[in-house]
Amino acid sequence: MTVDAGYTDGSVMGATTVRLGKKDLARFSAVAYPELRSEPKIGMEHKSARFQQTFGGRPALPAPRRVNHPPFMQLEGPTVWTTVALTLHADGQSEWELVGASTFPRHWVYDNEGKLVSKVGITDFKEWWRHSFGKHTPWGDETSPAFVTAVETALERSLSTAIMRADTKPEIRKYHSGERLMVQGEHADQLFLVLDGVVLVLVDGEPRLREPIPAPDLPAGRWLATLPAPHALAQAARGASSAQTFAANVLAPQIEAYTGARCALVVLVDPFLSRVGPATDAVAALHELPDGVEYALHLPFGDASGLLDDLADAPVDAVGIDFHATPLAAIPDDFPKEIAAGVIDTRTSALESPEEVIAFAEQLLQRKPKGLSLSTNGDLQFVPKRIAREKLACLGRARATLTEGVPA
Amino acid sequence: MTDVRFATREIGSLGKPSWRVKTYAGRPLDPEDVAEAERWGARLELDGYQTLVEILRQKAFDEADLVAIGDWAVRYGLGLLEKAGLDVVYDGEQRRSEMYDHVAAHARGFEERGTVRSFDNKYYTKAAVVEAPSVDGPQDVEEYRFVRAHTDCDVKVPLTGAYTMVDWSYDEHYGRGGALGGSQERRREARRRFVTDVAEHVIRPNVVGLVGAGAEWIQIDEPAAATKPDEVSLVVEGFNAALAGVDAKKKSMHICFSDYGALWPSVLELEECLELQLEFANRDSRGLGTRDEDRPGYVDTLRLFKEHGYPGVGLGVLDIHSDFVEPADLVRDRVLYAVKVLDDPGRIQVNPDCGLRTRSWDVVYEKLANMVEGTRMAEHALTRVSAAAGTR
Repeated sequence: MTVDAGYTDGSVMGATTVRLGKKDLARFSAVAYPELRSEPKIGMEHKSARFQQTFGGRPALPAPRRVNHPPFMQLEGPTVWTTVALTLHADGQSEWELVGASTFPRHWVYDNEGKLVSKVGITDFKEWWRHSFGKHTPWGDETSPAFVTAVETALERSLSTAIMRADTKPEIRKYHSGERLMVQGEHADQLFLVLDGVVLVLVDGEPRLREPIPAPDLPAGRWLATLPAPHALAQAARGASSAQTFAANVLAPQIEAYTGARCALVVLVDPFLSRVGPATDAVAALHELPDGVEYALHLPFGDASGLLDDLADAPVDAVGIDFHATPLAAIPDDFPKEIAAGVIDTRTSALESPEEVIAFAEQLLQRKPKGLSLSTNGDLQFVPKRIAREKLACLGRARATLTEGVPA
Repeated sequence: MTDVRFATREIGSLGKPSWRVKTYAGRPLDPEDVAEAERWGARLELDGYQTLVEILRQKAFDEADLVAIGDWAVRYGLGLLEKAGLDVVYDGEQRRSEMYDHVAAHARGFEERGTVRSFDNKYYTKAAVVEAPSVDGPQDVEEYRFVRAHTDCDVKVPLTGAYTMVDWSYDEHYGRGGALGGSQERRREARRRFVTDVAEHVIRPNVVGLVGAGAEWIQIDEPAAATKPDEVSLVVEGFNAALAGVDAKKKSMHICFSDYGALWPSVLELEECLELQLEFANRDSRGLGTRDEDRPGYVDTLRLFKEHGYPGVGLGVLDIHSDFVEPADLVRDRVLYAVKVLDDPGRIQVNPDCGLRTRSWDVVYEKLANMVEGTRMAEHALTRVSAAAGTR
C-alpha cells in the first residue's frame, strides 16, 4: 500500500467582537494572511504523508503601539498564527503536532471529534504585542516553537472555574523562572491554579521525564535513536543530580518507549567524558538503563585513550571513538566491544579520502576489536551541507570497499 | 585625599544604523530610515548631520555617496559613545562586516567554505585556511586615522585575535596528512603553527601600522580563548607574537562568555597585558548589594584575579544580551564589589560585557549612560571613604 498526498480546502479565521460592558456592539472579521503550506513529506516506503501548514492573520481593528523593531511604531494589530502538522498513515492511523505558534493568545488543539487534546503551556502578551509584525512572523523569517502541555482533566477544569469565579477574588502572583512554588513534605493549606506557565515537579528533589518523546515514523527494527548519555546530563546539570538518577528517571522511560516502537540501536552521546574522565561513574550509570535494545556510547571530539579500560566493561555493545583526537596506538588488542570508529572529522572542511579511511580501518582491524563500524566523530552541523554530503559519501564508499570489495 | 577614577570604555561593536546597512546592500530606504538618521543626528548634536539626511533622501547612491554614508556611520557611532560619557571610544566597528570575516576576507590564505551555525539560529560564513596566511599591509590604519581625527577622547582599537581566527576557521593546510589516528602532539603542533602564522603575518602587520599611525591602545579580542581549555597557552602565544616588540602604550585582551577558570595560570604569561576585559554581568544577579551572595556573576572570577595578581580587570557591568537597562546603582555596586575583592582600584576599569551590536541604539545609549553614572557614583563613594580614612 502506498500513499499520494495533497492539500484541499482552506482555513477559517475568527473575528473580533467589540464590547461595551457586557453588550456586544459589533464583530469585525480578522484579516487572513496566505496559508503557508510545505510540500507533503512522504514517509519511508510511501506509507505515510506529513503535512505542515501555517495559518494566521491580524485583527481587523487597528492597534497603534510602540514596537521593538524598526519602524518602532505599528498601526495594524499584531500577527497571530498557528503552525500545525498532521501525519496520515496508509493504515488509517494519524498523528498531529503543534509545531509553532504566536506567543499570544493561548493556542488550543482539538481533535476531529471536537475534543480538546492539547494546549500551549506558555503565553507572552508583551512579546507578541511588541514583536509580532512584518518580517518577525512566519510570513517574514521568524517563527516560535510551541511548548505544548497536556490539557487538564475535567476535574481540574471544574476546580479552576470555581476558583476564578468565586465570590472571593483569588490572589494573583507572578513567579520568576526557577522560583519554588512549594516544597515536597512541607505543610500547605493553599491551592494554586496556574494561569500561565509550566510547573516542573521534582519528586524527592530528583528530575523525572515528563512524558516520552514519541517515536519517529521509521520502519520497525531499522532505526536508531540518539540521546544524551546519563553522565552527559549530569555534567550539564552541574551536580544538581547524579548520572544514575538521570539514567533511571529520565532516560530509562524514554528508551522503553523507543524500544516499544522497535528501535534497533540507542546511541548515547557524551561530549564531556573524554574531557573530564574517568569513566567509572559514567559506566555505573549505564547499568540503570533497560535491556531489550542495543546501545552504543559515542564520545565525540575528544581523546578517549584514558577511558578504554573502563569502557571495556561498560554495558554497551559499541563504543564510538573520535580517531581525529585519539591515537590508533591507544586501542588495545582484542577490545571486547565493537568500535564505532569516528574516521570522518566533522569539524573541518578538509575532505577525507576513501583510501585513507580504508587504510586506517584495516590497521584498526589488525587489533581485532569485537567489531568495527565506520562513523563520523561528531554531528555534521559544524560543516556546510555540501561538505557534509561529501563526507558521508566518502564514508559510504569506504564501507562498500571494505565489506563488498567495491573499488574505492 | 586620593580621588579614585575608573576609565569607562566600550568593547567594540555597535549595531549598524539601518540607513548604513540598506544603502551598502543596495536596498531602498524607507522614510523611517531617514527619520532615524535625523533623530539621532539631532540627539547627538552632530555638526552637519543634515548633509547625511540630504544624501539619504536621494533615490540612488553613487560611490562617493556610499563613502560619505560610511563616514557618517562612524561619526554617529563615535557621537553615541561620547554623548553617553565614555572616556575611551572607537567607531563601533561601523566599517567592518563582522569580526571574523573582516580579517579573513583581507588576508591571503583563507577561502570561504559556506555558512555554518554559530549560536542559536545565527549563522556566519566560515573560511578554511588553505595556505600559510599573510597580508600585504596593515588593514585598519585608515579606519583608525578617521576615528582619531573625529574625537577628542582616548581611542582603543579592537582587533580580532590570532587564536580566534584559527579556532573559527577550518584547517585544510596545517593539519593535512596523517591526522587520522595520529598523536595529540602532532595535532597540537599543527594548531601552534597556524596560530603563530596568523599572529605574525596577519595581525602583527596591522598592529605595527596602527601604532605607527599613533594608536596608543590595542585590544586583542579572543572570544574563543577558553573554548578548548587545553589550548589557552596557544591564545597567550598568539597575543605575544602579535604584539612582540610593538611600542603600544596599552595592550589588553577581551574574552567573553567562557569558563574563565581555564585562563589561569596561562594568562600570567601574557606580556605587558594591561587587563583582561571580561563578561560578568550576563551571569550576575540584578539585585543591589556588594556581598559575595549579591554578586554571583563576579565572585569566582574576581577571586582568580585577586589570587594571581595579574593582569588588571576590565569589568563587564552591562549584559549585552538583554534589553534590561542596568540602573546606575547596580553598576555602582558591581564596581564597589570588585574593589572590595581586589582591594586595588588601580587594577579596575569599567566596560560592557562585550560589543553591543545586538542591542538597539536607544537601549545602548541608556545602558552606557547608566554605566558612566554608576561608575561616577562608585568613584564618589570610594573617594569619600578614602577622605574619611585620611582624616582619622
